[in-house]
Formats: sequence, C-alpha cells, structure tokens
Amino acid sequence: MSMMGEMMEKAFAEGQAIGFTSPSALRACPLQRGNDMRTLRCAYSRNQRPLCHPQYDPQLTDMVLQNSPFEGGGAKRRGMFFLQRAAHGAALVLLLLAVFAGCGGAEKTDGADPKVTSLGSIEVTAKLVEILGEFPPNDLYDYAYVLKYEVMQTHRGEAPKVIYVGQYNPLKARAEAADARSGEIGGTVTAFRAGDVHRMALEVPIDDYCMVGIINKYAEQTQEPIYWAVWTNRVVQ
Amino acid sequence: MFRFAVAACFLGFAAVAHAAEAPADEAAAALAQEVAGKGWIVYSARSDNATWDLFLSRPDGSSARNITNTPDYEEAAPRFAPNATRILYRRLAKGTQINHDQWGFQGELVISKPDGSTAVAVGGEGEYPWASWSEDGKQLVCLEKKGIKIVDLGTKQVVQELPRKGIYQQLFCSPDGKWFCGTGNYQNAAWTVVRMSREDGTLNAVHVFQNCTPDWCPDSEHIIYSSRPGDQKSNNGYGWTQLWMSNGDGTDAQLIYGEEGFHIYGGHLSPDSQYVMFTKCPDDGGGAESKGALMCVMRMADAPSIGGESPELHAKHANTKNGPVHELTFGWEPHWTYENVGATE
Repeated sequence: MSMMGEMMEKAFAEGQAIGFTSPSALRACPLQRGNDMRTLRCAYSRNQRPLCHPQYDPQLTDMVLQNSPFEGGGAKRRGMFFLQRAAHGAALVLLLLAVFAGCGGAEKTDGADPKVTSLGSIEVTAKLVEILGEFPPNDLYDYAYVLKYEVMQTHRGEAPKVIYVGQYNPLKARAEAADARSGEIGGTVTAFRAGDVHRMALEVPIDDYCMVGIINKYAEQTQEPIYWAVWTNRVVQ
Repeated sequence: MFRFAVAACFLGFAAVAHAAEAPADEAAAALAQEVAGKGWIVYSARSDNATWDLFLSRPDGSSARNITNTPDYEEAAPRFAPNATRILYRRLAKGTQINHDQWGFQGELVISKPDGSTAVAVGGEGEYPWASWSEDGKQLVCLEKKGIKIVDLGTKQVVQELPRKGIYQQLFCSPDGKWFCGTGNYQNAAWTVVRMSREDGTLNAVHVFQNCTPDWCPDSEHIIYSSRPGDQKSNNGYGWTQLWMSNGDGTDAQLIYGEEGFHIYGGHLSPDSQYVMFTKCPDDGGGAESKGALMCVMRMADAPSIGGESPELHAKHANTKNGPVHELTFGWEPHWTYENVGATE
C-alpha cells in the first residue's frame, strides 16, 4: 500500500473521511459544501452502502478524480486506494486535505450564534420530520415551502410540539437566500434533509413577515399557523 | 429542362409563401397605422447607455424617445397617473438586475412629469413597495408585509390600511377606486390572481394556479392577467404563459392571446378597451432580467387570438379569430394613455 493509501485508510478508520456511493450522493452531502471538494467527483461503494458514513467502509474500492490525470486511468483498481504515479502525489495530498476538511467538519454544535439567539420572537431547536414533495426550482420564481418540524427544545417564546415552518427558497443555502423580498434571513444550513436538526429563529404568522407564494402540502391536514424561518442553523448532536 | 422545372417550382413556392405572408403583414401594418395616433405608451427598455431607461412612443412604436437617459440608474415599470400628468416608476442603482417578480421591492419610487422631467424620489431604497396610483392620482397604493397602505401623496400620511390577505405582489387599484387586484396566496393556492374590495377588504379569487401580472381593464369590472395553465404538454410540460381576462368575480375566464414558443406578459388595455398591449418572450419571466421582450398590440375585437403554429393551443381553443398583431420593439411593462403627453415643445 502506498503512503497515500495508508493515509486514507487511517482517515476512514478514524472517522475523518466519508465514502459516497454515487455522484448525486456526493452532491447531496452537506459536508462537502463550503469546502474545496469539487475535484472529487465520486467514490463508489461496491455494495451501495449508505451515502454518507463516518466509518471506513472496507468495500470502498474505487475513486475517480475529476479533472485529474487519474480519471478513467489506473486509479480504477479494486482492493484499496492507490496511487499510480508519484508525480501526482501533490494533487492527491490537496484532495485528501479537502476530504479531511470537508468530512471531518461534523463537529458537535448546538447551532447557537448571535443571529439565531436574537432575531425573531421564537427560538427553537427542532427536527425536520419530512419533506413532502420536491422543492420546485427557484431560479425564476420565489416561494416559501412549508416543512414539518418536531420541536425538541424551545429557547425563546412559545412553540407547540409540532410546528410548520415556511423556508424561503429552500434550494438555496440559508446564507445565500436573502433578497429584497425576504428581508433578513440566513443561517448555516446549506440543504434541507429529513431527519436533520435545526436551531431556528422564527416569527409567526408567516403572512406578517413574508410576501411570497407559499407552497403548503400540509394545508389539508392542519390549520395550525405557519411559522416563518428567519434564521436556520444546523445542529450536530 | 430539369433545372428549369426545379427553379419554377421554387419560385412557385416562394410566390405562394409570399402571398400567404403578405396579407398578415398588411393587416399588421394597417393595425399599426390605426393605433399610431391613439395616444402614447411609456415603457422601460435597454438604451444606448446600456442601462434601463424609460421611453415614450406612439402605440405603434413610432416617435420613440428616451425620457430619462440616465446612465447611472436603471429605471423600470412606469405607469401614467390617471390623468397622465405624471408617471411613477422604480429607479434602481446602476447594474442592479431588475427582477420580474421583485421589482416592486427594488430601488426607490420616483415621480416625474410624463416627459421624464422634474423627477423626484419619493422615499428611499425599498420604500413604498409596489406603489401604484389611486383612482384620482392623489394617493399611492402600497403593498407591505403588514398590509395594504394608502398614502396621501401631498402629506405622505397613511390614510387607509387594510390586511393584505395573502397578496404578495403586483397590487393595482381599479379605475373607479373600489377594488384592488393583485397576485397572492388564496386558500393555500399560490400564484392566484385575486380581487379585493377597498371598502371592506373582502377577497375573491379571479384565477387560481400559475397566474400573475394582473391589471385592471378600464371598466373596473374585468381583469387581464398572465396565466400558464398546468395541463400543457408543450415546452417539455412546462407550457407557455398566455394572456387571459376574467370578470372581477372570477367568472368568464377567456383566452386573449397565446403563442407557443413565447411567454406572454405585461397585458394592458388601451384607455378605450379597444386594443391590448402585451409582451412576448421566449424565456419565462418577461425578459426583465435581460433585454425585455417584444412589445405587441392587437385589437380586442380579435381576441382570442393565437400566434404562430401553436398546435396545442389551437386544439384547445377552436374558435379563435387570429387577428393581426403588430410588433413594436423590445421593452417591458408598457402603459398606455390617450392624453397627448408626447408632444414636444
């Protein structure tokens, strides 16, 4: 095994690296966002293991590097990670650093920051229960999409056990979602996935704070007021 | 001999094609001549200085002149006051992209004479959102998060407030002052054109699902708007936005103009309701983010009309009149008055 191979083995064994089962899984992985992972296109798992797992997967056998001389070449050898040519070692080191930085960043956080603890009149930590349907594209039209949350802790104000929260243009990272229509919104969440936990600053009802088309798949199920997400931070437990 | 026959066939086809086109061209030219003397339109368009400016022209596109010509600003969405003694519009910082759905939140509100002179900013950046004229031009109708606010232009005092009840953009007061129309959420249906009573705030849907850019017809009873019916197969199932009109209570919805290959926006009737102006753009959104769209005029007597081949539209709307459509130039959100505002000194 090459030195690089050993480094990656160690990284996976220590939970610092993560395997991805497909290009779409890689794109969906929140840990790659904000890090220079663009050179890593995909890594395949022979048995299509979960798309993002913190421990080394011995089945992880193949890595393809986009825009690198390895792509489609000698890098596709089964068994373990490898380096074919020492001249490309520097590039792989950079890649590994990106992998470590991106996937080792899942540090515990309660999501608290000066924005989420001060904006809005309600502040909760809540679990995103599900996402009904698919988010429509918002390259042309803005919208707020109603998501169902289970409140785990109420930090400020009052909130019931289950709340319905309108997120503005949820295909955008919260840090990039604000515009003339939305007013001040933001946060650290880069993508919405069922099961994730968010710390949110909220207002209610949404109509008092948001002037946009509202897509509410729960309209037939509940008449509960819709909350407006002012700030949405990721929580890692 | 063979070459001669081919040439003859080609010339024959060309002659037939020309004969087929000529009447349409002639009819459109006649329409242009018909509307040329019927007042003026004001619209926003890209100018030679590379920014959006405001232009005044005859409704056939003639006598166009740049009335702002400000290389340091982007100007958009002009509307004549009811008596056309003034226009209001949004003025954005140079380089700001006009957003076809957010322009009412963008920039500052400016009021000027219809020739663009004596332009005065009313409020700062983002203030007086979605401002439009009241029926007498003495007040501004604004749409804010907290509700609809009627502001007296002289004193800048809010003289009336109503809940906006889900309306989120494109709010306009009817010519008789009794109603508002706008785009909003209505009973959990976004992108619904709605009508609201100014007296008591009663709201009703005019047309549900994928509608926007409503505007009042001069009779204060009908509303013209853009709609993209969801049952279309063309354009990979996305469909094409069409121009529709309904009674204010939502009844009698009817197609005014549609053309596969183009999204139709900016519908606006002439002051006598005899003509309709609109824009057609191959890209959805009406072209505000780029160079605008081709402005067009047609007779309301020719509605409904369908442009181009548009097989799906023709299959759904059998009895169309398909009258002439005169194409002007590229612009955005044209507005029409019969007052003689364009006369030069």
